[in-house]
Amino acid sequence: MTRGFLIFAFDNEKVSYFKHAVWTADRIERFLNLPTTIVTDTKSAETQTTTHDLIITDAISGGQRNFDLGQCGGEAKWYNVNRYQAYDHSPYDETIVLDSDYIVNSDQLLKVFDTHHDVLFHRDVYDITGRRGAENYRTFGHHNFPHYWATVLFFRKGKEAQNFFQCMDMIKSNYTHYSKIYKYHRLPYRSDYATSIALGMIYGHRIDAMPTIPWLLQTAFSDVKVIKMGDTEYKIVYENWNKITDERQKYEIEVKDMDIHCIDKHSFEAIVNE
Amino acid sequence: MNKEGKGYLIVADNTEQTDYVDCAVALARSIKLHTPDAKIALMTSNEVNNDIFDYVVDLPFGDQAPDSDWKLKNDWQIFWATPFKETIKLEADMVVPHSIEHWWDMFRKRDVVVSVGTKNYLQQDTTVRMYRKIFDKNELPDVYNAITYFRYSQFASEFFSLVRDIFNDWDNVRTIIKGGDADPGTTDVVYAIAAKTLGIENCTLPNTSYPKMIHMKGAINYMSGENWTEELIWEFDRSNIRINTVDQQYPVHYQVKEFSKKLNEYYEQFFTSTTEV
Repeated sequence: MTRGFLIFAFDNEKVSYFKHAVWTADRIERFLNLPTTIVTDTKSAETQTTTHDLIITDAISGGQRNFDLGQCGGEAKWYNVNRYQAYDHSPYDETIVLDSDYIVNSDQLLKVFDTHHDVLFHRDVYDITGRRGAENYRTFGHHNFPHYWATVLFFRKGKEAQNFFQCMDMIKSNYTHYSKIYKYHRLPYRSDYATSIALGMIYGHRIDAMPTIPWLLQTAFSDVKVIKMGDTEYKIVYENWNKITDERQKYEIEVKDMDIHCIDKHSFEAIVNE
Repeated sequence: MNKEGKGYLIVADNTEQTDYVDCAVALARSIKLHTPDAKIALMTSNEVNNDIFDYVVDLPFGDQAPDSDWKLKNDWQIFWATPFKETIKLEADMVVPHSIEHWWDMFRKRDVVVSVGTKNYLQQDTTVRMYRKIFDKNELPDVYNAITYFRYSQFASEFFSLVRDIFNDWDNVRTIIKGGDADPGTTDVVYAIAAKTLGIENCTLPNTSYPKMIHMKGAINYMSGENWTEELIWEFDRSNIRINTVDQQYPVHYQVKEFSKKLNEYYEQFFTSTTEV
């Protein structure tokens, strides 16, 4: 039974996803002792050399997105659709598809391979700042369908996983149709929505039966700066309302040996460039 | 009447506005699709000849609201009308997509069990209270008469006698309870007062996941309006019903009465009988 990671990474004008993916793959090798295959395009792959396995394919854009949240001028194409190809691209029997902005600081992800489920990802997120920033991501669409996170997506090759990715393909191909059913914005394409809907399908549309990775996805949201202090030590900088002074105040916390889903691309870029 | 074992009783009296009997036929069909041996009775003052019902029984004390388009005042008669020793009463504008036969075992712990709380189409217990203000103001139990079990017993007789008395004395009762002036004497409120009077613990099952139903009211289901059939999609698969793709695991109180036409149009293929009203 072969195991490994798959990272999709297609650069745009704002973010060097390929560089991020190589950095993350290095840490996977070091902390988890498992190989990573990076799915990318020619243009991205030419930006740097790597010893990790590469699969070169065409990047599929899910629309424009602002990569500088809270500021103007950060818009660029978001190549986030290819994930439905993971089953065909993965050379492994058991695969974790990982976002390139996931900082591996421990061997926690090895536990995911112990699952008896053939498809598994996170239902719930832990806001690393404790500000309940994840509340808005509990559901999606006007009618509050459960929102799952595609950040860490485990699958074991077989009929169930094949069905799952075929469902994702179908949802991708008919994304406008599904946006009308679940009443979410048609653009940009969201992998989280497609995976949530596909998981519901393979579990017979019984949402109480849909499984989840049994711990919370530790996440630093887009307004949180993550600063590297040591190999597995990070400073988390964020603002919050101070109820005593009645004004916004900067807060800092430090974490160690904890995996982090770092959504702020500038923080991640600084960490990778260190 | 010699009462037989157990069965489902549906209350349906047609009004000028609403074909409740059509709703009752759809409900009975939904049950027989997964539980063909279930005994089903219809309590109605209409003439109904449809073999989906094992019994059609008249209102034993006659129509208590002959001039009204709302027949709630007849509800208490179910205790005297039922042909069963043990009865699960169901409101007509519901479907039961999966068997609830296992509920009987739990119900037998009481002489009367009224369902408490309700769920949304996502199968989650709802916390929406906008339809239940009178219950909260008066600290009444959050009961839904749409699913009510009762055994032919002294206590059930007392319960439904009290329900009758509250209905008949509603003009006085409404002056005593907070917000009563705005309530026309709805069955849920009357049941709640009866349950509180006779002991909530005697009329409900605490800490159980059933009896429970999916309530398709707008705010409960994150909708803009009250007609869910205009905002959500539905799919039928024999008795199963999926609402916005979600498989419904509990009885569904669809409340938009015209939906029974869609249900019967679909169920027709599984039954040879026709409705004659």
